[in-house]
Amino acid sequence: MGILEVKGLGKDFGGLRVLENISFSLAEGTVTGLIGPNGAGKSTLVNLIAGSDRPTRGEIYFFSRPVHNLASWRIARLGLARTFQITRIFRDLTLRENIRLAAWTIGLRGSRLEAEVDRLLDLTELSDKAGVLCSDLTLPDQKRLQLARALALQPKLLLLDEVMAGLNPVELDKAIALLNRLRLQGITMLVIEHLMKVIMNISDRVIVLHQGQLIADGQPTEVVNMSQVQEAYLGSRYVKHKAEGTGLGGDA
Amino acid sequence: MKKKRDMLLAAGILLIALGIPPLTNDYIVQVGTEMAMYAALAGGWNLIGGLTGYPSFGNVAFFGLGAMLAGALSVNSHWPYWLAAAAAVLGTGIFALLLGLPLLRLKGHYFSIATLALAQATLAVVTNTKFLGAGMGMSLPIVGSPAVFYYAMLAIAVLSALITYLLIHSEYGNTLLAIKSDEVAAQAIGINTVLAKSSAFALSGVLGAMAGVVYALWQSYIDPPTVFEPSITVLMLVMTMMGGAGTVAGPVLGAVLIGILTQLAMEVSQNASSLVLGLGIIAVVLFLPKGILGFRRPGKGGKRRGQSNFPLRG
Repeated sequence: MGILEVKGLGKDFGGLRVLENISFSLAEGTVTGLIGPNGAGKSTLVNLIAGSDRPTRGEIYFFSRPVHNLASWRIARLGLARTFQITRIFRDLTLRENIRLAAWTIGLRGSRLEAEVDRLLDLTELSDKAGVLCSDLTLPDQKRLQLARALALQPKLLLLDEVMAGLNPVELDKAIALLNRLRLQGITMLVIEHLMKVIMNISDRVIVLHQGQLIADGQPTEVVNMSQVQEAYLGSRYVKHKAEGTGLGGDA
Repeated sequence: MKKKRDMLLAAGILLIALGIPPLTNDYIVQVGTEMAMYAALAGGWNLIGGLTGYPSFGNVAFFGLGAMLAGALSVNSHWPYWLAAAAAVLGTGIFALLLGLPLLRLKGHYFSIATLALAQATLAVVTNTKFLGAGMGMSLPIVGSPAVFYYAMLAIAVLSALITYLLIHSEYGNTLLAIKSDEVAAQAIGINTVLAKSSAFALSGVLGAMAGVVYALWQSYIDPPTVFEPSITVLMLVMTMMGGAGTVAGPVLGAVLIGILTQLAMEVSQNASSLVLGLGIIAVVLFLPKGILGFRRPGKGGKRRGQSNFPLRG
């Protein structure tokens, strides 16, 4: 039994079926990559798990507790933290205040609170910008801040929605190293990412969504070689001609 | 230290304000009482409109309800005025809290329209309630001197600024600012946004009601159309915006500036004051969209917001 159980999850936006019959479970301490072409429903799935949106069908259990009807702030306090694909930061607060507020909501106070904020600033290499108002941050810094803010909740499960997008190669390697360190700390992660380099590097397992359906689930190397995955990304013509090609290339 | 300078400035302003009744005439005290009243009201509006980012167009409901409840409890139920006032403030706070729960689910223009309707609906209910005078108005005993009401209003204005100051320097204040920035993200870090918003609305209501109960006794005659006058909300909003929304000193500065401008215009003619107010609003929107104090906010790499936030910055 995993720490997160998703059972028969479905979501409609009006007449549009965005997710259909999604079921999977996440084992504690594992890193799962969630991939799929644009519009596959990845962010919607994260929104449903985190409680930012309600599922039309199905159930979600976090540590065996049903969370599909809980407000997102309650889910966050249970230890399920997330980042947003399009960054959502508190622009009127400084970077430090952003992180401190999150650590404060889980009950840290006084010197323990400040020490935890310092640790997270250090971990995400944001210490020198701690006093900067967030409306002045660059996009990569905003992404790092979102990660630090999510970690401030001392999560047991972390949902990362494209935290690497827009990073340069050096920053990317650093970010991968950071996620690997978090994995060693035992934080379970569900990582949405378009960069296959990241997915192959950090995932124990990969789940593939396509047009709202879960089409593959397995080891990273095995999943990228599945013909239905290659079809979803590259079209059926590519798969037909695969014999002459080299398979699913680099950054999809 | 900037913080020390801000504190000295605040103490200086307070000292001048305290000296007005013994050193000036009744006319100035009268004008000062009104300014202090609006500073308190604008300060209350700032909690929900400035800090939390929910522009209420119905805050006059709290002012009016506070005044009418205190009046009715004192005149019709013969309660001592201090007890009637306390009950009115408490009752209005609960009223704001309960109405905040559904109203604050709305956002932006929807919230503003709904609060506008709230004020009108409250007026209608008060006008049709026998206990509250049934629209006939109420005469309260004439007590005190102009100076007493001036100091009472000043005390509420100071309380209003003090509450804002303490909020801005607390995690609760940061919670409200976080909600203003991004409510979805605020929820995602475990903030109970419904509770935070509703309590800010209730606090805003309490300050409005406090000004209302003093106003009732000060004027010694109140009727619903006067204490529920929509322009009172507009003034709270304009003063806060002009001074600097989300700051401690902004509402005070706005109330004093608009108060002075209105008085100067009245010297020319009664209608000139509306003209001055209108031109003032246009000037703020065009040249100082963040208000006078918001305008002084430093740019990139500035110091952390909380450090000197007496605050000259939002």
